[in-house]
This record gives sequence, structure tokens and C-alpha cells, in this order.
Amino acid sequence: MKNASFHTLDVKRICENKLGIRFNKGKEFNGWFLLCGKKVARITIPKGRKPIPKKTYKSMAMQLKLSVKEFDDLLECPIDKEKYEEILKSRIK
Amino acid sequence: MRRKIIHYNTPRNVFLGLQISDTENSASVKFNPKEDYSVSNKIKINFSIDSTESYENPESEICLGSKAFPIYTLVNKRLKKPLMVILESDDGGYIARSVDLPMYGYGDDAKEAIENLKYEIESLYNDLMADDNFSDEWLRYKSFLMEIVY
Repeated sequence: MKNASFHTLDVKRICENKLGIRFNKGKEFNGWFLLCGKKVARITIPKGRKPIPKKTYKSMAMQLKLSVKEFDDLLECPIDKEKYEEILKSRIK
Repeated sequence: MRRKIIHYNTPRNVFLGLQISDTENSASVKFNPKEDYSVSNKIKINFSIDSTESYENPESEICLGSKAFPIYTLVNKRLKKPLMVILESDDGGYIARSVDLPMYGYGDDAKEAIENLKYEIESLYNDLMADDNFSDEWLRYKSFLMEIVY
């Protein structure tokens, strides 16, 4: 788990740039990932935390339907948007 | 023949179960109130709950750990049925997670975590009410919230 390497704003920035998620400004940031035009995953990102608490980090991964390792990879680069869409398609009920 | 009613409280769902057994055979059925299905030993049952009860109890059972406790209100809205929440410590802060929805709230203290979760659930409710452009999973959550939020 690489929660210690990231600030919550890093997660927000990567979700915006890599996955195209647009975040609402509220108490916490939340936004939807769209797959084929439909909203399929919703992530909540608390404001201003580093390191990101472990259970919070895991919860963010789960909201994107990723394992913690896959979430690490998403944040660190190996997983791009296309790869993420492949993973998501295999996990949508 | 032995018949046993079981209450399952898992991290993501609350199930009611019926277990039927005799000396040689055993079959069990789990009912998920959210999803209208059950699977076990080739038994398939459509199942739904008619939720007409109202809850007026105060939120007095907040507890830390794996035991779920109910919340009866959101920020500006109320609930016809309580939502179950699990509160845990998280690296110096607290995380409150919904049992029935993939939602959490984080806070420096327990109260803030619960308030943030309530805010998130209400925010989700507002998102879901805006249109129907969601996956089937989220449309099920929409139906679920439409039944209990007012």
C-alpha cells in the first residue's frame, strides 16, 4: 500500500488527468467515472491529507472497484485509462 | 426438520437467512433486502421487504469497531429506515463507512467522520436524483435511497 506516498490532492489530480473525473466542490471532493457515457464509479476524496490514512486509501480504491495494488498502480502510472476501463468492465454487475 | 432464522451482518450487506436441515441434508437461503435475489442449493426466490416501519430512536448507539450502528438522519433529509454505519479508527482519524452503500466519511474525530458520511450520502442522493445515466448497480442504489430518504 503506497498511501504514504500521496497527498489526497495527488489522487484528485490523477483522477482528473488520467480518468477524466470532474469533481464537485463540497465538504469533500467527489466525482463520477463515466464508462461508455454512463456513471459507473463514484470516488470521494477527503481534503488535505498526507499521508492518506490506510482505510481511507483502501476505501477510495474500492469505490473505483480496484484492489489496493491496482490503485497503487493507477496513481503511480502503470494503469492508464484504457487499462482501467478494461478492469472496470470485468467488474461491473 | 430443523428451521433456523439467521441474521448476517457483513461489511457490505445485511442478510436475513433461512437454514433448513435434517440429519442428512441441509439447505440455506440468504435474502439480501437490497437486491431481490438469493442463491443456494438450486433455490431461487424473488424476495422483497415491505418497509413501512418508522424509526424514531435517537442516534445513541455510536460505537467504535466492527459493530454497525444506525443513523436516522442525513444533513437536511431524514430516513424512513436507518442506515447502518461502521466506525473505525484510521491512522489518527476516523472513518465511517456505510454498510449498504459504497460510501465513507473521514474526520479527525468520530463525529466529523459520521457527519461527513451523512453529507456524502445526501450528496449521492442528489446526484442520483438528477438523472438516470447510471450503471445498473447505481440505479439499484437509487431505488434503495428513494425508498428510505424523505
